[in-house]
Amino acid sequence: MSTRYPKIVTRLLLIFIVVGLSQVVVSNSYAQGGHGPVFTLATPTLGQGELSFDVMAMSTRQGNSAWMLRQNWHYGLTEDIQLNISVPTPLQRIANPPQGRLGTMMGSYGDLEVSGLFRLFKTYPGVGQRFESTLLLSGSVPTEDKRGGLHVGPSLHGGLVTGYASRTFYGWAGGGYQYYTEQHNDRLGDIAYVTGVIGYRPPVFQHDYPKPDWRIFVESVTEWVGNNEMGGLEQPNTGGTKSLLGPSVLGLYGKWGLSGGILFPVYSSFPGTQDSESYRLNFVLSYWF
Amino acid sequence: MKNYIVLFLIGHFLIPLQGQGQLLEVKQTVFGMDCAPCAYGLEKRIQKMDGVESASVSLNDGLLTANLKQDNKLTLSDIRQAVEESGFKAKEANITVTGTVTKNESGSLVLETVVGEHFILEAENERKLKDISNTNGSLTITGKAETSDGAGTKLWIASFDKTKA
Repeated sequence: MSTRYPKIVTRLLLIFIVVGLSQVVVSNSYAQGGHGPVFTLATPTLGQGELSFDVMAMSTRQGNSAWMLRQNWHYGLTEDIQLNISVPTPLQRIANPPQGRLGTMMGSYGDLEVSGLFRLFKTYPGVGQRFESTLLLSGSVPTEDKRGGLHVGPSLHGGLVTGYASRTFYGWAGGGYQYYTEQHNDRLGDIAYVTGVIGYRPPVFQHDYPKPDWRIFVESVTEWVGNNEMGGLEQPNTGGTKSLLGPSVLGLYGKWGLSGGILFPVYSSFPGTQDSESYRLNFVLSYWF
Repeated sequence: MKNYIVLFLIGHFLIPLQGQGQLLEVKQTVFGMDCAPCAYGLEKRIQKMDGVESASVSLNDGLLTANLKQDNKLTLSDIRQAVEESGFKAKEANITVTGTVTKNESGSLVLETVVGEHFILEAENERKLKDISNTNGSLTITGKAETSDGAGTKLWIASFDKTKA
């Protein structure tokens, strides 16, 4: 990390603005369902019949930088059930991308994911406050035949998150598991993960709706990745454990949202000599219909 | 034939009077709403309801304010259901509502709107209830409506006016 980051950020921002905004303009309205953190699990679901869209520009680096756009559609089937589809558009692939869910509320690198959020529990202690727990279930199909030299199969994922939201403080904790199926005797290692996030909205940003609303988060993700299998045999230099931590910010203005964040590795334990992940970077532009 | 035409015209002009506003204004307290898109979604949902003149939301106060058209057929439970469908909890509401006062089986005063919504009238001052019970015809009452339980929605009277009815 050093001189390359400014170039990456500039390039990412340009693509984000040009491609992302053009998609928004062409389809005439879009948005994101998550109005919380960028990388970690959170509980909110859309209201019944509500639709939102977001376009996300994301980057990660493991040896070389990979980046991709994601278009995420969200629909509130009821006030407690939200359906989502997350479609990746890889802009720059790398031969051996990091194994992990780059944004835990959507598919892994290169996966098209269909998911459902089920709010299992909710209680409202006061104005602007709520405790809730939400189950996330999803299924993914890869958009490429091979990833890191392995055939990639469809996967199943489940996650559970619980937390608190208010007009000032936010906090969610959760975890999940992604299981990859075998494809031509190859199989990507499963991913188990836990996430935690705390958020704060400073008094200076506590203006009332419809004025802009900003909040900041500290997010963390820890992943345990299993060994990949090639030709039915476990590959020794794969899998491992890593923890990432970093800040993010979310700005909301009426039906628009803009968020961004970066995670850096703070701990890693790999069984072999694989490259470690240098960072994860996400920007999200959201529109609520 | 002329009489029938006159009766028809009288009836025609009476119908709008009968259908005139019952629920006139709602200031609904909302719990659980923490973000701008939440407020946007709720505001839009209420504005789209047939009979709503205008609606606005305060996030900091957790308050939905809806002004209703004179000929609306909305009930407070319609508004509260819309709040729940947005994913939030509807708590007590300050409302202005027009209806006729009757007594229920247990002898409590009840305000009934023309669309059939009932409010059990309550007042901190017993005299206010007595004044209402002595009033004939329609009343416009402003007060705080509690959340509904099995027995109905209690409306705590702040003021009432028979001239607006």
